[in-house]
Amino acid sequence: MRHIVVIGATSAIASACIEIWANQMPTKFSLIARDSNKLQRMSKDFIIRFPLIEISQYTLDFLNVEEVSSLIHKISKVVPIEIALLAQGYLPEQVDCESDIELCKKTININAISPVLFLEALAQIMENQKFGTLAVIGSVAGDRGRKSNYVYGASKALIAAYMGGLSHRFSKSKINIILIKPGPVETPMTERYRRSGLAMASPKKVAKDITKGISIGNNIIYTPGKWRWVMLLIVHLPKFIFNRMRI
Amino acid sequence: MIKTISGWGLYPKQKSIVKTPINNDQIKDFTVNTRELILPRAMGRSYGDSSLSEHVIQMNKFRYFINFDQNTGLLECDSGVTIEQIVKYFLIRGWFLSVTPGTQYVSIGGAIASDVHGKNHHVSGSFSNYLLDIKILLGDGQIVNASRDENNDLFFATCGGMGLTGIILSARFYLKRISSSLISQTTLKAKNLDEALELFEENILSHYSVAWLDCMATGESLGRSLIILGEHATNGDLYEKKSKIISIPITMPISPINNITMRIFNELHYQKQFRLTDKRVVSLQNFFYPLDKIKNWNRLYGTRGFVQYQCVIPKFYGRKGIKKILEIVSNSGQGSFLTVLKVLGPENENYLSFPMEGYTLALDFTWNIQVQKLLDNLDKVVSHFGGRLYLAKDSRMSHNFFKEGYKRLDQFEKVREKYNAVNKFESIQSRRLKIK
Repeated sequence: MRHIVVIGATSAIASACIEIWANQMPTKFSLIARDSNKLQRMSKDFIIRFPLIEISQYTLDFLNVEEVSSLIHKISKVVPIEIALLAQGYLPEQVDCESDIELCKKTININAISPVLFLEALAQIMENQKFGTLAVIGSVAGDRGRKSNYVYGASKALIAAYMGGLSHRFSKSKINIILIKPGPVETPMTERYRRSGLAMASPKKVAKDITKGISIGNNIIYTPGKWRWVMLLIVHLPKFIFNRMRI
Repeated sequence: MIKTISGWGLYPKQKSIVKTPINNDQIKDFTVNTRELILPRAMGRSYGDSSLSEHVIQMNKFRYFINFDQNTGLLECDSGVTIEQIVKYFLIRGWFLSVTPGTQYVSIGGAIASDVHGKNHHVSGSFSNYLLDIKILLGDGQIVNASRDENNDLFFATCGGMGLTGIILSARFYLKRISSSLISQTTLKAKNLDEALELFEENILSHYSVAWLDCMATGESLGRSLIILGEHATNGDLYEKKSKIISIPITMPISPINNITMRIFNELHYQKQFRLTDKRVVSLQNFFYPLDKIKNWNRLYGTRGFVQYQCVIPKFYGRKGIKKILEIVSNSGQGSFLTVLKVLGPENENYLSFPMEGYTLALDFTWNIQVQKLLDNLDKVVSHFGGRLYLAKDSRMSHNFFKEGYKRLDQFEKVREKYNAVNKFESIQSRRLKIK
């Protein structure tokens, strides 16, 4: 049975991905999340909808090196891991970050440090098993620092550089390293921005792009696809124009 | 978030502060720590003002299945789960709703609160007949169970209680076994109302039955109709072919529905079947949810919106009552695009459930002043024969007429008092109807 590990499994994008995978074939899921109550409700719902899947649930401290590494080793011992998706994330209000350094720390911890702990443990395992796909949800915000969300952006940029390194390390192996860069997605995380009229993609659409990108093995997945070109433009904007923009 | 909301009829509209909780703690917080009068809401598929309030608790995030027993078909799920979700995941395994309304886009909470009925009411009763129990959050934040054995007064008030007793969190109800996703459908042509009612009675054992009626017909052919009977097929498999869904993207500035188009449509619809009896096998989606194929069909009625008038006339006076209503409608010059007639079975124990043994007639009218007068006249007829209107469709009846039709209102109000719902849960409808 195919084994997929999802970290931050209760997030809207992650659960939409799980739904697509569960619909494809019988799969064993190891789901890791902070909110054990929600994880339990969600898992039960999946089992009822897709009776042929298996789900193991795990809750732990996402920043505890020991706990993370021993859990990942434990999970991989049961069945080799085919796909691991990291979807934990936290989006603070940039203005708040500027006055509250604790909030900056929290943002970087959840979006950057925690994924690194998981990724390093998973990379080791995939190196030993000699196959697998490691996918992380980054963000278009990581492509260029902007005044409207640079703490969040910086945490996602760390992931981008990190994944670049992993991809280099595994370039001669059968291990796929995939960085997903969604634009704004309609999830509980972005709920407070919905009124501003910002065009947002649905988690369903994003999950479709992610699962498809993973099955093809694309190194970088922009979703929706248009963001590849939008960000290409933004990244290359000369500073004197960029500085005038309110983005 | 402040939003303008309306029921499915797009009339009336209400500016409302909408809160969307994501877990029980938040619902509790939104319910207890507020002085405002609130109302739970999910899909907004009731037609009139029963899901409207200045402050609504939107239950769309409560969409989990909680438990399913393969042996008995007992399903437990959050109140925000929709019938569409259930059909999607359970039909393929041979399970279907014991009772389903004419659209899949209603939540289980809504189905309970309106105690919805379907084409099988005459043999199976309404949705709550298959409901084992519910979990409900009361006005003081307490979460209690209600069933026929436990807090049964709360159970009888909540089923059909239009969300006025508390917030339904989850429910357990029985699905039924089926072996095919097909329905054997028989359509009988009736040249007038008498013939239609006779055909209904002759086919009272048919599992599903409903009649489409040409409300533009007058005189000899008053009430001419097509009576549609259905049984679950025994052949065929459980796979459901996806049917094409078309969508009405915007509300029509000028409605294409008027007396001329209606006359043409009704004539064609009646005449397209040549034979007196037509038998065919149709998909379950086509049989139960034909209008779901046109997404946002309510927008066809234009910006003013429409009202659906659904009444029931007790069986004893059924023939007279329905005839009188049809006469008034056809003389008024106000046509109803879609008119549906159905036999209902006996009344259940719920205090505000709509069905009673008799005939129910549902008519759609584009909203305008003349329609208002027409409906006031129809109210008099319905009241005269001891009938009543369906709260899930209503946006205009008077509180006197409501009181006359719903004789157990006292008991309902007592339950509201007992379970701390007074001065907590209110809708625009309950205020209009002066429900205490």
